[in-house]
Amino acid sequence: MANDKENPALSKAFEALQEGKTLTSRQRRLLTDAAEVAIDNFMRSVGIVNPAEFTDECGIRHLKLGSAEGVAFIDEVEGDLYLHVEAFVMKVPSDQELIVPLYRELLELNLDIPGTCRFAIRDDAVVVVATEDLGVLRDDSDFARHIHWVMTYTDAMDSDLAKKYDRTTRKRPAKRR
Amino acid sequence: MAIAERYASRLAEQLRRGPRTQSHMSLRAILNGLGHTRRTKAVVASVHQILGAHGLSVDFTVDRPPTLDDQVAVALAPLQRAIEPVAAAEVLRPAIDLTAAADRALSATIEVRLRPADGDSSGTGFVIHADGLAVTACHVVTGERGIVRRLAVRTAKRKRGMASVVAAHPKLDFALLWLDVPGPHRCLSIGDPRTLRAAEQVVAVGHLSFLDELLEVGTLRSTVTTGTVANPAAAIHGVEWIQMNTDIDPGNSGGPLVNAAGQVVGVNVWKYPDLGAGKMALPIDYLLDDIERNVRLGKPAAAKGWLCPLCGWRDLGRKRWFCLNCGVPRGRWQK
Repeated sequence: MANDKENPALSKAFEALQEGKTLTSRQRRLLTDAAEVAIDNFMRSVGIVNPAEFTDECGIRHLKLGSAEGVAFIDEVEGDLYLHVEAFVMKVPSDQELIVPLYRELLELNLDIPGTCRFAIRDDAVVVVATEDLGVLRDDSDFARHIHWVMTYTDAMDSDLAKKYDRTTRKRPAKRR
Repeated sequence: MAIAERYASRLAEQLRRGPRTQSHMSLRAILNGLGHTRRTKAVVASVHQILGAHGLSVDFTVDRPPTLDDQVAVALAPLQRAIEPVAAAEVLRPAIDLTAAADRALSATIEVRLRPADGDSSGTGFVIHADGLAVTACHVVTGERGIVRRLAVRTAKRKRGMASVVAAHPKLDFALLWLDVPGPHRCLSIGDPRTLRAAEQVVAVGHLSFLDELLEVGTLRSTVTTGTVANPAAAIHGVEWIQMNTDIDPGNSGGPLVNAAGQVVGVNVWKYPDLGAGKMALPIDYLLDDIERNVRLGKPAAAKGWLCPLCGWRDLGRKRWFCLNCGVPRGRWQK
């Protein structure tokens, strides 16, 4: 994205982004489009011939790797642009005896995860998420790395976590009372 | 069988009306009362079943086979005791065929609908206490901002009103609500899902949401489907479900699954799409603790406390800023 010699306007927008200058709406649009192309390039590299088929009307790309299902999109928070990758792991359990150890285990796992990838809770779901400022994502491989991290980590962890926590501690009575 | 039914019914009635909720008698007296002249293993085993169908629990000696002179304690099952003072007149007597079972289930079935501000979910529920304690599925009472506290209901007698959600469990997918509609309500008696057997016939009752706009005003809106139990305890993700081939359609969620005796044994909650025998009901015995707790608290306490919109836990204690069960900050979700 940074080394796009054919598009000086994009290079200029990227410089402005790196220097922390206020972006014009046209620059934001240019950067967002270029970042979405980078996500699409990753999707093509993993065998998705037509990424548009997996893109919804909000520009969110839907990804799947093994048991992991996730999304990637460009997010704008207070004028700054971010790559946001998120994958669903499991629902938060309903029983305290499972919720408390799950929360602790997620925090302990976060300690050892390399890169920007981490576990988080969105409403009633446990997710793996990575967010990165577009200003530090220099080329397609940077985008690919973030998406790949989230999806492979989720695919590796979701079944183990579900086995331990996607259940209930409630028991049926053995006999009629 | 008629003798046994009459005897069990009379025994239950005596205990309900009498000062004591428990009675001791010899096994011989019970077997005679039920019309048996001989004591066989099968006959002794059937005592539990027959009396259990009438809300009675029977306590045998467990360390050796019972003899005819053994004293047996016959008592009202705890749940029957809990609801008895208000529900005695309205608890439905066990039926003997599926059409009667369906009739009774229909008379205790309610329609549950979220208010427009909370979402457009609708489903089914059923009354299990004459004062108006009802059961439905958790996902039916879950709107855009989590589990709701208040929602709209319509009873089998087509009375409209509001209800308060007092307990919910997203994983088991059930919710309990107290109806604001004045009672007494027709209610279903609670059966024992442990006695369900594969190939046993069951009845599911529910409201088909997509028929709402088509049905003429005044038409009965509940529908009944029958089927058989495929697996009475299919363990999936740590929960034992009643797996069956009884059709469950959109809007049926939260409806009762009733056995041939007209007793509710499960709550219809989900299905595997495109699988004939992939419909799942939550066994009613998962809910017994919550039912007892809420019967004990009573209807006046329905509005008390804070219900976590994410985990369904009700905090009746002092006002905390977060859910003590799942930790969600209260302010962010409180309506």
